[in-house]
Amino acid sequence: MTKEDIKRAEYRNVVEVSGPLMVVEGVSDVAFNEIARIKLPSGEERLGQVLEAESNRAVLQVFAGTRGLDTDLTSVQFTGEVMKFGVSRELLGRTFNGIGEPIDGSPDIIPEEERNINGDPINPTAREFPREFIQTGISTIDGMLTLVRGQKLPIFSASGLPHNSVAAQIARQAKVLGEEEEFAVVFCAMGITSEEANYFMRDFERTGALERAVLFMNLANDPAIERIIIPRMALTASEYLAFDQGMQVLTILTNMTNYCEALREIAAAREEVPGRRGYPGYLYTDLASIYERAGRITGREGSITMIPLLTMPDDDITHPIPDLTGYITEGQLVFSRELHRKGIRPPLTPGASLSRLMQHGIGPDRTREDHMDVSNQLYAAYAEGNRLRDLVAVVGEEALTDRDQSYLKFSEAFEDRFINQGEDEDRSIEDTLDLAWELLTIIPQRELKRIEEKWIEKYYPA
Amino acid sequence: MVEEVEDSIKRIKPADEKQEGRIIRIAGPVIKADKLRGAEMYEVVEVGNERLIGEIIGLEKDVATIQVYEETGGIVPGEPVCRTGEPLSVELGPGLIQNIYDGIQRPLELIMEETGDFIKRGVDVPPLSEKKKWEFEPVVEKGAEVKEGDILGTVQETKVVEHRIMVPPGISGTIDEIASKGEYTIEDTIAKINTEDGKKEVSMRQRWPVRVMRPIIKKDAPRDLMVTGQRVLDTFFPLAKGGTAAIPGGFGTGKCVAGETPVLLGDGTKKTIEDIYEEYQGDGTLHRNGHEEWVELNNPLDVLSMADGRIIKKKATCLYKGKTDGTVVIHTKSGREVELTCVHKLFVLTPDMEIIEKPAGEIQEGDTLLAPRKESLQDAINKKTGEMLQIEKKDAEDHLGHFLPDPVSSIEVKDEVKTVYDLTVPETHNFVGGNAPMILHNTVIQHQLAKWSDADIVVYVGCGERGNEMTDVLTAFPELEDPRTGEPLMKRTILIANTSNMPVAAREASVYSGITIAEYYRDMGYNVALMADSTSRWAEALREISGRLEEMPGEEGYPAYLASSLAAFYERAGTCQLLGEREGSVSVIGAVSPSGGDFSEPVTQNTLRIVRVFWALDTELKNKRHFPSINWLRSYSLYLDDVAGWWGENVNERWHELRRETMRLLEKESGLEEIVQLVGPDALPPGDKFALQAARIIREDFLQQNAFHDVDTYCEPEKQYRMLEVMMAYYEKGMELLEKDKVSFDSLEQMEVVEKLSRMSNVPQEDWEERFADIEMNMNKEFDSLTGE
Repeated sequence: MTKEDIKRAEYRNVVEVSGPLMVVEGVSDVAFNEIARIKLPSGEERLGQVLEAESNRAVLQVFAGTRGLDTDLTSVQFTGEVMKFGVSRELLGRTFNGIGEPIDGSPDIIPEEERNINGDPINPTAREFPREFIQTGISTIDGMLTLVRGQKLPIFSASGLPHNSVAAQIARQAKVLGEEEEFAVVFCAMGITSEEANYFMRDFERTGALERAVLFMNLANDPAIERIIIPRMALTASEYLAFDQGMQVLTILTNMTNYCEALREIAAAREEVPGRRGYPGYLYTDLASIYERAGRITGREGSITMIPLLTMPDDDITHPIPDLTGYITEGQLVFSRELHRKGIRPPLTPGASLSRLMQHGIGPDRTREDHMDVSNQLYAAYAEGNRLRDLVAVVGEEALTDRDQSYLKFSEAFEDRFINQGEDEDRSIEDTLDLAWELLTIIPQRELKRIEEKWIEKYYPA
Repeated sequence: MVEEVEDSIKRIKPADEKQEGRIIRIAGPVIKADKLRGAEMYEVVEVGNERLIGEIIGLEKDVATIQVYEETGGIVPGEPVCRTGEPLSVELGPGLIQNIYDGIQRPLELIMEETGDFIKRGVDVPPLSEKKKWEFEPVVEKGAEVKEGDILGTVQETKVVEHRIMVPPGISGTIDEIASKGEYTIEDTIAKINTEDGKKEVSMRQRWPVRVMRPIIKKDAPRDLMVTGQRVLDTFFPLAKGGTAAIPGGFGTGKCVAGETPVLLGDGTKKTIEDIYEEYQGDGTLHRNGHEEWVELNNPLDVLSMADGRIIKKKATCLYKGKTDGTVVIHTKSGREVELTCVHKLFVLTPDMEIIEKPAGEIQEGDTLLAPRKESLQDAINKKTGEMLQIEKKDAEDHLGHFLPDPVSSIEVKDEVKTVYDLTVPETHNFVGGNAPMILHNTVIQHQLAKWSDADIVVYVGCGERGNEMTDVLTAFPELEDPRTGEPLMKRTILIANTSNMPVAAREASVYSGITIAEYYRDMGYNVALMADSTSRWAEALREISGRLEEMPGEEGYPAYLASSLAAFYERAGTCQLLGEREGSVSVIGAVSPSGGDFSEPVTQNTLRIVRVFWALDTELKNKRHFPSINWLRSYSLYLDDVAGWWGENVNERWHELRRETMRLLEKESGLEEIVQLVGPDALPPGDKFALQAARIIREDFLQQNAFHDVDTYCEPEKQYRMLEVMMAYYEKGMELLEKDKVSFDSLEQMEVVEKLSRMSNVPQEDWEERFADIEMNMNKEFDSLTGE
């Protein structure tokens, strides 16, 4: 029997099925991470992946779930391949399911190349540092939490907050000033509801973005286990479009919390030693293998900018999912329930949010020379205003000096006019900065310590 | 020690001809192989047909457990495993500097030439170029007696680094032959030494196992300041050359009130808040209000609480647990508005003129609240701060005159769904544990250190770091100029980049590769600084591998040997007397990134036990854009006395004293801030107001430093000292005049010099001496004119 024959052999000795896993014995030459076809007694076929390979035994995770599997008639055939996804320019405008099959009714695509969905890590020396300012048209982001090309900037939201509409707004409005380049959106849904998915679809359709988009859909009632591989397929597609086709790709991953839940499910089924809150000890490394695929490469046109969305369980930013995400991504956009309750949209709270690449993407030639100083001043003034709000709660407003009163007024106006903006309101960076200056006139001019004098002379509204 | 090491290298010599094992199990980065009898722990093996690098981390009979430094997908049981007979080692020799390596010393730039922009597995490139010729100049002659560590000759590795070729550890004898001045590769023999064991050939290349410290004679106490040009570090929390420091990194904000939040109790033990609740709920009166419940404790619980940066023992009087954290907004007739949780207590004046504490949830319209009347606590202020803040019921009764009765005009209840626990601690309303406030910008500080510290050699280990941030380092360093030599900083830097998406086992090895290289340069007599960002990611790699080995987990899933591994790593730092009668040092600056901002987690706690400097980054400061966000009240340095001599010799004897006075002022400020929270700033006496003003100048204009400003990014120690001296002179002089009643607070606050002080940090390097003298002179003139003299 040749090696190929062995590969084609169908194994029937399934000895154990538990949760999303199954164990097959008597196998030979099974590779780690290899993909297998599993034939159910009903004749249905499912895909599985090898999680543990031993000389004559293999543990597989079954993508569409183990319902209907038995230990008698179920057979397994190993493909000799790791999980791959076929890429080509035809991906644009198409929709795929959790194992990479088209689900939009159109014919299968003819792939230019089949790629390992796990990808390879970008060599750190090949990376180009992200510097190009992306204008999202949202003042809080552009002015204080600037997004740059090749950055990964997650949205930390919580249940009941309008993260979808903000993500859609970013996808719709994001542009690099003064450049006409090919743009694509890769949208990856992991365990979101069909309502949420429809919202994005409608929005992409309404704005004509759909034909520049590749959609990967794993909805709430789809197999949870497929959530492990779907973001990797989405990123394989993103890498192809960005680094082979030279497009500027915006990858939206929603919702990472569901992804982590699926990971935990598998880890629990394998009886692994649990880490924090039952999530596996390798959650950090695993998340990094997803997030770190964003970036730019020296000498290549395209880029992957990533916006993962996650909901903080119980609004808790210290929960392992937001916590570990924050350690890998270059900042975070944090939504605040308090602002949401005040009717501020997007309820982005500058205090807890951060864009680590901001200082590299702004300034003369990129945005405006006064940008950094203005941003620092806004932070400082808003933080001072918030501190005074606490103070007012104790001592009453009349105990405050005029200076303090002006900070309170500033904070109110800042929330109402700067943070707050409409779903279709697209503010240019000039507008954002001018608005910031206008608001800064509320506090006394001598308080503008974070701004260099020359900018005050030049930009302070008359 | 030396012998032991030598021995361990000798023993692991290639066993019987290319012994081959066979893979029997693969699960992620950990594999098992059999038929490896005779293989040793930590021996390096080549795994599979693609010859991936792995290291043996467990042995049972002839079955070895191996961690593989590369991705293992697609490997099939039955593939071969080859022994190399050597522990995981690094190559040492000319060519290290300016290189960028991954965690197991593979040069990333060469990998890129081989496999393109993505790192494919199984690449085999030598860490040091075997072809490049180096200009070698001998310093010993034939017939000279040499021993291990002695210098044979030198190579100008870069413009700023002279590479000293040393006799490898374990060799001593007479020089039989020494190469003449000329060009050699690292493989060429440059000396032959007659030793007791026969003739030994020495080349410019050495190999050294990474998990073993290179031999030294002994360690000395550190005494020189590591100049970093960062004011808050050099002046306030100095690191000595050869010292160890930790800096909390990463990310994390907000108040954590989830059930598993640990709380430090007054007796030093730690419990989760949920446990505390369960334990003590029977020990008091239980109240319920819808979804919430709270227990008023019969015996208040001692907890450690934080009052503006200081940790004090406080009594928690009430435990709270709730599903709905409804808040109550109370409006009073005088226009005050207070938003509180339902259990937050307020002082209420009953119709019988009795003062009682009442939870906000029970307050009704028409109740009369007691609000502090501003400017009325003048007397109380002169008491000790601590006492003053304990405005308990009794004090309130004593000081009825200080409070303004304020009737409630309306009450609004706001709803918010949350499961929370809380401890109510009078006044401070917080407790130690959970998440001490934390930081975001540690990387900026690490980069600043790498750029500006006056170490001769910098080894930067990006261990599980972000790819883009690593790129920032990779692109910034070659462009940056070393302030001392005018050459690019890269010419004294070695980078190790194992980003978070690169194999986890290589991340575990990266800190050892880094420190071994650092020790090698130390052995030449250099002061080396090693920065590891972040040791938490390294510890996580340890945990991940331990989990795959199915080892019994210790605290939070970390292996039981976490503490000893960390200690052993930091212990490799130090100022040392070296073989060959030289001195050199390795300083280690490790970043820790506590998960969930929880300082009580094992990596942080074990690190703090070892290191002697702690730079406490603080989210609150970050939110206020106070950079570097190092909290001056919570940071510490145990090298103050060690480096006082250095400051005295190089800058000014008064440094220690000036630092102490400034710290006292900052400490005073934090105490006063609490009072201000309570009564408003206007209620303070002029002396305290002025102290606040002076402290603000220190905070905003001295402690803050703009890493992105051309001048401010680096501040030499002399300038630091003068800045602080002038600022403190303003305070001391002002205070003196104020006490003598010669000036008013307002006139001091409005002095022109205040603005000048705030711009001192931006005065260019060339003329600060002159300009500062001017500022000081004008200040004194201004003081004189204020007093009319």
